[in-house]
Amino acid sequence: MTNTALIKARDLSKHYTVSTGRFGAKGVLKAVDAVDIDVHEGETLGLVGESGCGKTTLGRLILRLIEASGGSIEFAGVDLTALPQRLVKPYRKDIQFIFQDPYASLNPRMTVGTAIRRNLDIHGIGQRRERPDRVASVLRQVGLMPEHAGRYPHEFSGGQRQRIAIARALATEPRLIIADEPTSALDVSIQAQILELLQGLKEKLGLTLMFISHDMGVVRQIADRVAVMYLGKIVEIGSKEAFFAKPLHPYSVALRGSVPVPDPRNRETVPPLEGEVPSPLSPPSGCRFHPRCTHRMPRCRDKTPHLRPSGERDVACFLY
Amino acid sequence: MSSQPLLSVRDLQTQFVSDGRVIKAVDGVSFDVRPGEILGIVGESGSGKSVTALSVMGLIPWPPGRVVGGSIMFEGEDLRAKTQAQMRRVRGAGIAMVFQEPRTAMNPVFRIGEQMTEVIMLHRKMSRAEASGEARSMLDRVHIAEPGRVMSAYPFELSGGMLQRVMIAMELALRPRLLIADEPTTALDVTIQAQILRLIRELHDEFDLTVLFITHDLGVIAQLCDRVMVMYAGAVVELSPVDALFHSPAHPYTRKLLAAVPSVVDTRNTLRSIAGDVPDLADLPPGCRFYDRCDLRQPECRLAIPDLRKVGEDHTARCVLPNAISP
Repeated sequence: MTNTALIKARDLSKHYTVSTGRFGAKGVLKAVDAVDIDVHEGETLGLVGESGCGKTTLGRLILRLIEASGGSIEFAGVDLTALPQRLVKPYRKDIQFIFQDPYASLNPRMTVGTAIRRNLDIHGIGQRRERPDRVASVLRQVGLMPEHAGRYPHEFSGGQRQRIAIARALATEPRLIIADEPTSALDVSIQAQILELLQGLKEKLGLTLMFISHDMGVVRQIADRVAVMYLGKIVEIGSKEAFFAKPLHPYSVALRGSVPVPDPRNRETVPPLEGEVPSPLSPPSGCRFHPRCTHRMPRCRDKTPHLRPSGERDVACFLY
Repeated sequence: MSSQPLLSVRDLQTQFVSDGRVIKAVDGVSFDVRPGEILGIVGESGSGKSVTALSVMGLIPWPPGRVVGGSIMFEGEDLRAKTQAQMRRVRGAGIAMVFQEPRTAMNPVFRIGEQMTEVIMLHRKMSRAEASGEARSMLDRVHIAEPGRVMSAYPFELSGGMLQRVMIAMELALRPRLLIADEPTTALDVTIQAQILRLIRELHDEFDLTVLFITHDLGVIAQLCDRVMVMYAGAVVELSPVDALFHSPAHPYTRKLLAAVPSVVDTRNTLRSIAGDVPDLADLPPGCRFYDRCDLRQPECRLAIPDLRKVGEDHTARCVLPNAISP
């Protein structure tokens, strides 16, 4: 693995103006707030956080599925945010997306083959007559059969449908795949199949993977590096080994400690994190985690900590 | 703790009819819930774990489903012989249930306090003032910081975690002997799940509450339960004390399921997936339901469903091999 940044996002923000109640009062929801993040060529970056932390928004911003409110995204050295939408399209074949729910992301009235073929047609990949072969070959790559091309999504199980979504993403020979909770709707036995498949494809094809998940156990299986988000900010990012050996940010510690360990001899004794995530419409001042943090200091309320290197990783906390 | 089971289910059969096909969602399930224990039921989608719970509660909607066989004895009374009106009294004061989606279990147009008070008045024959006081003290008991504010809120004003606490408070206010919790933390974030699991554990200790806890998450089972029942394709495949299930699992399905769970602490480098899919519940094979996906299958497994056999202390598994493969 090299350390070349395939994706380099700087000061990336997505702010939504929302009506907050009566009389048309408006508020600003900072879904993603001044995030700097690199995705290295050939790595799997796991992005974890709870509902509403901004992880899905961040993934979509990178693909410009939604437009950023500020900041920049470089893909292989090209500033995508500086391009008009029509010039972004050629990069879409290099960056493909896999969604959580393959029921929703596959058109029920389109055969599997047509759905995959569409992705080739849109991006003008290969000669027209070669495209059916390409469809057959990606179906094989995900463990399905070329004959499956003639069937409809409803004829497949949830796990198979996610394989189809992966095949469609692979069809354009992307360099980066952004997978947003691709196994969250699946049973564990099927989840393991999909994780194995993604891992194998990544190694074989030299892909770069951004894996968005709420599940720390899944991220531990698949990622090389881990980034933790809380209320629109990245609070910690670093190698998986270092992170799981000893998470540093108090929120990372709490998040990892909340995951129920499948071993009755290792029962949780640490009290769980108190309270709930505050509303992103009025996030706390300073460090956004300070009201729930057991290590808070006076300055945490006034000043926002930025990501700073601490050993093999970056942490946004005044403790480090 | 008495030795009589609080709930005793024998040979439960629940079927659904769909497109003229009979789906055997629960097929011959037997188990006891002992007073004071937390029994977990774990299984993947379609294993029959929720249908088992709904069958006990008399909440299987006909059409398309119904309990077609077996017995359900609660405190010595046969629940299958009860009328709808009698079952309404059992639900609540006898057996309480919390669901995955507390929002769908609440009425959206009434304030939390009104709904709680109403239910408590009905089941505990209290005056409105007494019931309201009871509601407030139960909210306090489940660590809701401002019970007064929550009582005057509508369900949509509360988060999923808060609503699940409200549901638990409302159910426990009826002083049930058994709480059935069907995936109560599945829709919640992991830090909120940890709070709710700790709360259930606390209430279990404090009220000597018996709990039947249904989940797909083996991590939750390990952290919370005393005994575990593993279901697969409508049948019980293993029933065991929690420690033995995780440290000496006997059924090949249980072993594979454990190997497929990603964990934040273990040292395994790769997960092992289970090849294939669950069988069609409308067209079940005559033999072991795990046959097609099992690495250890024998010719005899194809012929008949194996019996649950004893493989250890208080530990049974539905496999012809457990003695050979159990450590």
